[in-house]
Amino acid sequence: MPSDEALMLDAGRGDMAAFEKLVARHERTALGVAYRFLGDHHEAEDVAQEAFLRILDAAERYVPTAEFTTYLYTVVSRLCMDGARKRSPVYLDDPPEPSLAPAAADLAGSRERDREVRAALDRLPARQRMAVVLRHFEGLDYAGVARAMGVSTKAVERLLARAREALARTLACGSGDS
Amino acid sequence: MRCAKVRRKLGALLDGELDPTAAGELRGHIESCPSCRSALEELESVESLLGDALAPPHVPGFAARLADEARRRATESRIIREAGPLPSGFGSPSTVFMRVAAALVFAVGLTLGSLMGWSTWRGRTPESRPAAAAEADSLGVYSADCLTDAPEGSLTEAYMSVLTSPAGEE
Repeated sequence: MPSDEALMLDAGRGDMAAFEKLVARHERTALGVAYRFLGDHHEAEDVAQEAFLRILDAAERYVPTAEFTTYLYTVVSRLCMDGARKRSPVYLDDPPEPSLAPAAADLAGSRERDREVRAALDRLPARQRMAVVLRHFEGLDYAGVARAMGVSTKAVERLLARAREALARTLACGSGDS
Repeated sequence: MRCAKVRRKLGALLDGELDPTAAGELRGHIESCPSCRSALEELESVESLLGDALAPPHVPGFAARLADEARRRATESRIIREAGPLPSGFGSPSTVFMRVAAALVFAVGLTLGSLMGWSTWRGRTPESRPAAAAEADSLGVYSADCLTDAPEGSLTEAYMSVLTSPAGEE
């Protein structure tokens, strides 16, 4: 099975079938990052599509100095962040008062959990939200998140710390005063 | 190890980003500090709640549609390339547009400036002044004597007339 980098090089030589294989392999990754960041299926599809098209446009100049997925995460996260700058945040629900919020064990069903998580993520500033998406949902290490977002690993650590504090307050997981 | 420093590193500990020595020191502190242990448990709870929430949508035919769009764009690019470049020296379409716009602005400015200068020039030459206006408004014509040293009706004019009039005429 050809590697991502080999497919990318073939796509750069005009092999559209290679490009299609690359997309099929990684569409879920691109859609996942975009959907978890943006919260809308259609916007996520638009961003994912645009990301792959930009990658294809640059395929002639592609040099496999890093893994293809690094490249993909970079392009998708930058498109998501650019989109976030152009639109106002959308709060799905007012967050519950921490003292009244249901404990984690009481959240019933994955749909309810999704709703809570969506609302909590949407309340985060864009950079913190992207750091959480890449670290928690995509499993990138700090270096990977830093490369995708174009920041230092120290910055990633700080973004995640602030994001987790905010998520803990919003999701009311607190077990007491910290 | 101070709690404030430990709290700052709890996320990195959870993410496996600390070297073994640092991780060991943190865990040693957490074992003996209920407050920091509670903070770590809170972080673990957040991770657990996030879980695998918000699964991405399945988009049937995404790759095929994308490949079609890519082919369409490639065809458009090829058509533009085959249409040929603009004559040399013109530059890109955006450069051409900027040059044409600059030329238009220059032409309009030159025209307006010329019109203004011409109307000013007309106002200054004696031939352009209607003769009737020169005769009719003698007051208007001569009222410019306010710019002279001794305008009519002024004290200066009165003093001058006294000084220059023959003695005994007053």
